[in-house]
Amino acid sequence: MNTVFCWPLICLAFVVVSFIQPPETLVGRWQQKTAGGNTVVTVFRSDGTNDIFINGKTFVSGKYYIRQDTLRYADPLCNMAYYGTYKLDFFAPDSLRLTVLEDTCRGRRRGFDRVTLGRMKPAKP
Amino acid sequence: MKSCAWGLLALGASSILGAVFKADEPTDKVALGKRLFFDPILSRNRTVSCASCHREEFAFADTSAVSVGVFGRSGNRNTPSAMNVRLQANFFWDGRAATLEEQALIPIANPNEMDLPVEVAVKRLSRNEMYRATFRRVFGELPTKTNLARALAAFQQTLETPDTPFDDWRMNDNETAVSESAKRGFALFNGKANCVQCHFGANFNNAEFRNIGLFDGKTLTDSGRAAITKKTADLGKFKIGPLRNVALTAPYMHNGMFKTLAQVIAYYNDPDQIVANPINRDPLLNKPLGLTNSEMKDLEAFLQSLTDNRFRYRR
Repeated sequence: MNTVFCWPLICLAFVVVSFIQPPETLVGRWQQKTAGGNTVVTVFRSDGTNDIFINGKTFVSGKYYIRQDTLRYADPLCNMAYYGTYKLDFFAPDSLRLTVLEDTCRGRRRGFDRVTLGRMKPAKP
Repeated sequence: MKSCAWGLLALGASSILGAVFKADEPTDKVALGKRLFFDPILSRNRTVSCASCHREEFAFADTSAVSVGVFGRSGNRNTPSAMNVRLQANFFWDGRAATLEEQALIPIANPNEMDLPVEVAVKRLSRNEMYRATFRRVFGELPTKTNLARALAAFQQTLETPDTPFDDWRMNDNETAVSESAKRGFALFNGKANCVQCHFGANFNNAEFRNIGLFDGKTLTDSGRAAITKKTADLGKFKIGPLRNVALTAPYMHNGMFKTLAQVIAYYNDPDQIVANPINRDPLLNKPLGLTNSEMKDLEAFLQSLTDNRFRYRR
């Protein structure tokens, strides 16, 4: 096959995959402690779904995808059709910082912007 | 000799009983708050406690439309659950209390509930040997209005219920924790039924007040939040009720007018069918949801999944 046709197809496939396939680095459970003493756990699943829990209680269930170093996130509180965009900064193997790039949903922006999350270790069986 | 033996026996028994009693005395703020919550000492005629209306088996809510206080007096509004209050931003249906401590004292003084001025309640506790000793031990001082409120609030803050089938499903990816109907109900809750617009967050409510159409100025006359803020725009607005354990807390709404969850869902599906001429109703409810019977059952199944396992196992 002509490589002139192959390369664009490969590039296109790469772009599509990067939209739908969250990287392993984000998939898992992340935790943070708030100033008010509450524990927030965020679960990013490999199927692109996400849940946030406060003190063990489900807070919101949303969906996400990764594009390069940004997280695109939508939830029913802000509108499932609207994705806020946050920069992902894995500043240590078990630590992640989110910085807002664009999100018109004020409440979510307040909750996500400049938040640092620590990866939770898997529970022992 | 015999009487001496009986005397010694009585002395021994009273020491043992005394020791048992002391062992039963609250040793910290939460335990003290719990004791106070269940003790009718805080009502005028010593017949009504907080727990008389906030009944533990019903998620610390009541089963009647309005609760009955001292001397058989009826309250004006349905008793909300006293559980899951840690993250609440305001208290009572009209949000008149901003803190749990502030909330804790109001029913004591309310003439329709416990009808005991808080100053009198404090004096009564100060005259009680057990409470005098316990407040000294826990707070380093005799009972006061402030530490009474702190103790009651401390106990209520322990009444969190994160252990539900719904949370198990979401947190642990336990697909068998809830039924397929409940899963569909959750999708409807976030989608077609649009419940999530008001019922969101850890307890499925938020800090807002909304008018859901249960004020018409004729038969439904409770003005709600407006009585506190004195704003016309707040007419008929009430605190958005948390939904955790909601299956246990019937009847529903500020006036307890709906006996079942099915009735509540049917109301939201088409409010005009139940209250024809509401005043100031939230525009979110202007259009019927168009839920099918099956969808309404799914929503109910989802709400059932918010019941904490402490109640499930007890049944």
